[in-house]
Amino acid sequence: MTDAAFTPQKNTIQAVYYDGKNATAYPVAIKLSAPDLTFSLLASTDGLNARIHTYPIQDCTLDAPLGQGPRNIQLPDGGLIEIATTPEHRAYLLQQWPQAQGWQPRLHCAFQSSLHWMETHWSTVCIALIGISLSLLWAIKVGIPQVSERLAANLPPAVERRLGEHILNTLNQPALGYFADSQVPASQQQAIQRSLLDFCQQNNCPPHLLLFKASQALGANAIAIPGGTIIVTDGLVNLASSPTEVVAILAHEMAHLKHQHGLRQVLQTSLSGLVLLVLTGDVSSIAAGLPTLLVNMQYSRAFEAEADSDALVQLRKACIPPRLFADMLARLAAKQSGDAPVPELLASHPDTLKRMQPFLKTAPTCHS
Amino acid sequence: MSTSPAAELRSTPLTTGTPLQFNGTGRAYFGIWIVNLFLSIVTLGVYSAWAKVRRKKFFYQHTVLAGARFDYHARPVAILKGRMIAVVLLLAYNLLAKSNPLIAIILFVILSCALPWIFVRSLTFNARNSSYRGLRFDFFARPGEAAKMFILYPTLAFLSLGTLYPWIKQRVQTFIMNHHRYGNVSFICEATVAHFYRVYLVLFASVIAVVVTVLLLAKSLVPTSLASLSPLLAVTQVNTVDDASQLEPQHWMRVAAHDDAAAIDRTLDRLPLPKAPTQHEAAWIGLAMMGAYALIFVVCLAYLNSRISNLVWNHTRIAHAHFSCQMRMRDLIWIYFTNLLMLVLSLGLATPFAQLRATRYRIQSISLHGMQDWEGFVGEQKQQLRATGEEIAEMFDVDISFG
Repeated sequence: MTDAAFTPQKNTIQAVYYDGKNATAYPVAIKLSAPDLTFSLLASTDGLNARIHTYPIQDCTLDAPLGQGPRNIQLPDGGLIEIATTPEHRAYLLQQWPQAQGWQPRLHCAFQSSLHWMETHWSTVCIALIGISLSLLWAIKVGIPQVSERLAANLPPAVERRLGEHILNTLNQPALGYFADSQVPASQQQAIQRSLLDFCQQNNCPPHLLLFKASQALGANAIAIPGGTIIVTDGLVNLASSPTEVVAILAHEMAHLKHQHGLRQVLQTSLSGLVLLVLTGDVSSIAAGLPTLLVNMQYSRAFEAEADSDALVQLRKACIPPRLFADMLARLAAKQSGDAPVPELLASHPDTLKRMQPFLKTAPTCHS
Repeated sequence: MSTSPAAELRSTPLTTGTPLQFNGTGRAYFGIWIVNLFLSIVTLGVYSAWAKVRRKKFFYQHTVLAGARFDYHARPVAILKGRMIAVVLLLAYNLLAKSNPLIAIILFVILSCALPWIFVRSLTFNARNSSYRGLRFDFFARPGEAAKMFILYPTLAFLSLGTLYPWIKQRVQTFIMNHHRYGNVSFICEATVAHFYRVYLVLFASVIAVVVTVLLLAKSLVPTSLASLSPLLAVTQVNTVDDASQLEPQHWMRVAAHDDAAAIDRTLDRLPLPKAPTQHEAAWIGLAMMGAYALIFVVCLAYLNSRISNLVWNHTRIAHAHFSCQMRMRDLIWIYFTNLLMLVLSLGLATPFAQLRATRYRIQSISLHGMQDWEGFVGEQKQQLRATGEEIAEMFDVDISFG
């Protein structure tokens, strides 16, 4: 046992040594001076291990720091030196290690060190934060809608049809009591069908099937179901003073069908859910629920806006005054009031007043 | 607690045990988390393998037991390879499944048969890349045993309508624990089937009791609650009429024609959304039901996580030492709910803090008792490791897990 083993010298730091064969921890004093790393046991009754250990620094690896974790030196024989991160130790390593290694930083270590630098500086953290926010915003506003639109256009029509059938089957379940047989007289139904046919002669409507149903739960409403079914409730028909007014609403529903909004909503919901899940990790799937809801409502409002602007163009093409659509909206709002207004952020449709504006401002251009 | 007589003798000086400690700070982890996320996005997911290693390394290196830290050594490239294989398989499956249903079925069967092997591989990968005091952990199990755990037993659980589930849970948990090694010393878990049945029976009985109570309460309360609501409904009805008088189309025409912004703003506040009251009510009922479901889910989760962890760790020993785990259900419920609140209020930015809190609690619940000498733990012979051939080892050094 040499004296060096017991008296910590100048230019040494204390650390813990593991030989890699045994779980025993040996307190050591290490010294870095090119070209060697030497260390000796601080206290040991084991004569065999009391010798001074020497390794060429070229063969040792100093792991890059991570958080407030220890600095580890991996020895070539599988041994490990664990250095607690005190300021003195850090300063010592910073000063001695590159010098001892002859200023030949290893690519791997340089990469890891730069990562650590990024993780511990507020400027890079802020850049990352802004970058993530922007890309998330882009994904939600542009990326996911575009991907879904292309996906919806390229999926076989059977997919959309099946989705529609599934929704219809759910809505038609007697237990839910959504729909009852329509009380609208057949003559009135035929008049609306004829008006719709006229409308479609001016516009190329997607293949569709118009159904009349009575519904307590849905009130005055019209629903476009993926695959081509449009359901009009008795409440809506009774609200209209002419078949043309019903068709004004149907123009909006037709736009939903034409742009595959139902299918796209499903795709966008799943994609945005996936993105948010990746972001929040496995902490809690419930916590991702509210943001997902907000995003979905935003998508829904975007679809409504698209259907509205499409309806406006098509109504003018078919010589139907766009004003009729706004009238119907106003009457729907009046009839269905009674609830506390939901803030637009949480609503599935844009604000009614804002929706009515373009329809009221646009004069019919038709001269017939 | 079942410990060998020798262990009891040696553990007498230490009664309280050495707790596992976690000393990572949220601030440090936030930086790691956000840079991980950012670089993963910028590199279109390639960096996610490096991100996983940094995340795990952070958690391991800040976990301290008896003054020594854990470490994680996986090479990100191995994880990247694993993820690429998984993505390719998934894409191939989806593409082939569309063209031919028969191929889809065959692929599905092959993939399900490979699943136990993949599971064992990922446990082995994780264990071999984890170290403590310079010694690696290990996991070894034959694919046949794994197939029993992950194919045969789940099938049995399904066929028995869940009555065999606690038994299977015991098999799987002890299987995972007993095949882990630290150095060349095996972990031994002696939790019995009866222990597991007790945990699940208590849960089952409590859920039944709660459901019955709620149903009884609802039956006696619903008529009165509706009655108390009726004046409220009447008020909203009056409001409706009031609003409707202003909602004549002509009124809107006037508003629009004059483009009177002030008038629009004034009416905007009073304009309800086009939604039927029934729909609105349904939405609230739905929301309330979702909340109740989340509550029950969180409570059950907290119960099972705490009880099963305690059960497994309290019956686990290694060499002459044994573990204890003191997780409490109410602590977990508190952590889950406050994490949830934090996540929602911070729009997900609190994710690293939430992860850290949950992990710290889990780690610090565990203690080690009666460890006297670490010299008894000896690592694998280095020569033996080399003999297997670095190249071959590297080729199969693939991590296919979804952590």
